Amino acid sequence: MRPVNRTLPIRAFSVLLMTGLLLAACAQPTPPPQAQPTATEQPTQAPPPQPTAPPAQPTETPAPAAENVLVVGLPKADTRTLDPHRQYEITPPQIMRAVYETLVTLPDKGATIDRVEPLLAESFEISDDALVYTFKLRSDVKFASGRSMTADDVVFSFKRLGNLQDNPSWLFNDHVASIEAVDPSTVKITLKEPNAAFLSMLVSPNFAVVDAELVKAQGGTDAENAKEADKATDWLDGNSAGTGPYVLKEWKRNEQVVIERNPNYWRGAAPFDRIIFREIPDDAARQQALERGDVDIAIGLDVDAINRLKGNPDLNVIVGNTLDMTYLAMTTNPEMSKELADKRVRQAIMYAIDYEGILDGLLGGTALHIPTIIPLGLLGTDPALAPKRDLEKAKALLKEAGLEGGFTINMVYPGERKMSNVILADTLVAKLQEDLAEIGVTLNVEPRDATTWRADYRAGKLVATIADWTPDFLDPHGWAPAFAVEGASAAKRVYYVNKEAEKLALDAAKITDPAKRAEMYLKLQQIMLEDAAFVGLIQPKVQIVASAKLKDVIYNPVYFLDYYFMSR
Amino acid sequence: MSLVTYFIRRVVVTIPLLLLVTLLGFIITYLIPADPLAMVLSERAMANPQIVQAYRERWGLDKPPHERYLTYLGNLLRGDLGESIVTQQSVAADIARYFPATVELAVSATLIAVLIGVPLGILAAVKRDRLIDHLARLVSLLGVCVPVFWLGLLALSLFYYRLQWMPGPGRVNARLDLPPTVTGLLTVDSLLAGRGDVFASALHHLMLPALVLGLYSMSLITRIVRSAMIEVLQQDYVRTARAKGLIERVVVMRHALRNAALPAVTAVGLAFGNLMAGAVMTETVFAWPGIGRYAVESATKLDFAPIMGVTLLVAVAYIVINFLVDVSYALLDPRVRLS
Repeated sequence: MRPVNRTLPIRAFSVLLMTGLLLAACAQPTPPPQAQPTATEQPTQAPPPQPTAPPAQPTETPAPAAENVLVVGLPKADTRTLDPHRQYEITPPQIMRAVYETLVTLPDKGATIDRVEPLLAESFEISDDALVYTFKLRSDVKFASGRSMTADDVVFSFKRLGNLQDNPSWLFNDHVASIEAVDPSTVKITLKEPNAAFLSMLVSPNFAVVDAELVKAQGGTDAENAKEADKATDWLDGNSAGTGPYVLKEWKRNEQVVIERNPNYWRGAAPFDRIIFREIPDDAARQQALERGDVDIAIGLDVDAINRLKGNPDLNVIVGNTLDMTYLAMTTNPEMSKELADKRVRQAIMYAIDYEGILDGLLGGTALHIPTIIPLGLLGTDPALAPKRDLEKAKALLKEAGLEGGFTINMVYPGERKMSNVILADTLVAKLQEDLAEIGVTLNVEPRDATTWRADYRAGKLVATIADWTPDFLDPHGWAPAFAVEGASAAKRVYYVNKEAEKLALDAAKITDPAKRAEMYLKLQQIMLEDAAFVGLIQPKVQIVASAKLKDVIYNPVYFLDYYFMSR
Repeated sequence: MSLVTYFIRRVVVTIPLLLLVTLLGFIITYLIPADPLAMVLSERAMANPQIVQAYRERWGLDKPPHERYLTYLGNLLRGDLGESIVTQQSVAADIARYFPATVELAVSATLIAVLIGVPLGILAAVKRDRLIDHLARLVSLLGVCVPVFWLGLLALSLFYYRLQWMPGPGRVNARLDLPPTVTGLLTVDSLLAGRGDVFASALHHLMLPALVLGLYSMSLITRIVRSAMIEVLQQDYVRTARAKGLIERVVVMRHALRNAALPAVTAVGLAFGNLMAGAVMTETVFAWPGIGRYAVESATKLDFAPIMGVTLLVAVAYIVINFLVDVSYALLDPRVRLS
């Protein structure tokens, strides 16, 4: 027998324990240098194309035949809350839309986005100076609780939105001077300054009208100290207080949201007994669940997967235009880059980019070419404005600037990030690098962790980069001032100053005539093309794959899908 | 020394270490040149001073860093893990929500690993250099090498999509009404509520991810048991046992296995560490609402309180696991004393 050292195992385990603790310490606190290997970044691991038509019957035990259940497969959900006056993430609006409603909505089941029509309001009136908005409310609207909606509910809801001082509160606070219930069916909103875009903001689910009595009973308040005093959010995370076709039944974080039909719905009962929004973060897994029939709609599948699914007769691919965009930003600050501070150089770069190669080649036609910074589809936009690749012109411009010998630009970009959710930043940057090389411009690229990249870009420390912009509301005013007004959130990052552009961006919101406004936005875009501080690259289309049995699956960029109109 | 005092001593020794971990975590989170508010607030909200101010106050970010750390530490010593900026819930509530799902997965994975890994290791050692040994070594080599997310996707594609033997991603059939949460372990809760349908669905959903997650541990255990058994089987007392005329089964199971058990127990303890890392991937592929995804989410959003909460949880889990390993040493080998 070998002699045994009695203390050895214990000692060995002290060492293991220390290692364990160190592992534990190392394992969590820092984000890994690269983005997390989330599902969207593993396209190569997706299963090979399926040779046979996939089976259609669900694996899960089917629900009792009488029940009409819709299951929606969501990608990783970013939901922080389901309180309509606090949520401002990507996932919640489609759920919010099913349980809450707004004074105005988009026509044609959400398919038209450049004007609005009444929903909870019966009619509205806007003063000629775009300062006073008066809404006459419908008299037949009931909350899910059975109570009738009055002007007081609207006032409570909007004030709560503002006074919570949460993510979307600026929608109210930045614009509204006062709101009052003139009588039980009339609401009058006076703005701080004329703003023709305000009406389109009211489509946003953040302007949801909630049952004031119910929310107050759950600790809610619209008082000025609501940011500390309001306690209704916990309740609203698991219940709803709206007028919508569905009511919120359950939210299990990182798992699913369940909504059920509102039996008291004022426009007539909704088609589904229940809708389950199930989170399946992995793209391939979500695709399989769709093909197996375990989910009826899959959101956020990647382009390759969707192309494979296009031949499947049991499925429909629904295409819609988003208002997202990816753009190239170049500094105008001579202290950061004396080359780029010359607008001829920025123009040269704009003309050197192979837009067709990006949109058709890299993205397979799943995106539009956004001319500058206002997405197509909005008032005052025109696809014909978009610049075309012209290498001769680009070279001539460089020569004019005395840079025909070429020069180098440092570009810091968010490594591994999916720009506008459709293309890896690294792929896009490599393409730009290739394109610019053709006019002798060397792009020195440096990927960086998204958090530090964003901080540096916001602080105006980057010479050139690519970035995304997501819509806040459906009016060019959501974009124009941010990019064209000196010191505004996007303009300041590249030190962009052009007083003419600034004046147009501000004045276009002060008049109500759509034709005149459109003209001003067109003019603004021409100036911004000339200045070329921001070069529009991509305005992605969204592709949703749904069971062919579903009717009226219509995408819109504000609340994604409207589950009231959808049926099976 | 009694078990209890031994455990308490172990815990006391690790407290300074845990405090150091919180300090390091805080410094690292603080040094990253990005504002945690920018992770949760939109561009518009970030441009609005009132909203930013309200958020800074709400989350204590308006205070100087040392004060924030001391506040955190003070709360921690009172057992308060703080609040998550992202989920806007207390970290304790978040952990209570997500941890059971991971425990259910990790325990099942370990169970599978032990139940397959130990016999396979023994078999491979006894039939050394024969076909079964080569197969066992191949399987365990693959199990250690293959990335878990890839294996997960492959398993889903084969057993869910093609063969239709297994249910898809998720913890349970989404269409079922679930019993009230008692332990958070769905299999246990469904049994407590007498809901056979939920239990069956939960168990069915558990099998594939647990198998995928357990494969690494299983491979590790197989390899360690095999080499330990091979070493023990060459010892003199095994030859003596055989010389006494004992049947081979008794020699292997009673004489050899008991002595080879110590390294196997070590392997199980070690494997647990890998489970935490593997859980992140498995939870993503199988849409499992567990602590791994919560940890990753918190880290990418620079959400300090949950980052620390999960770190401390994992550290404590390590202490407990290592303690259990030590205790089982003492039980398995009478010569080992806890001291």
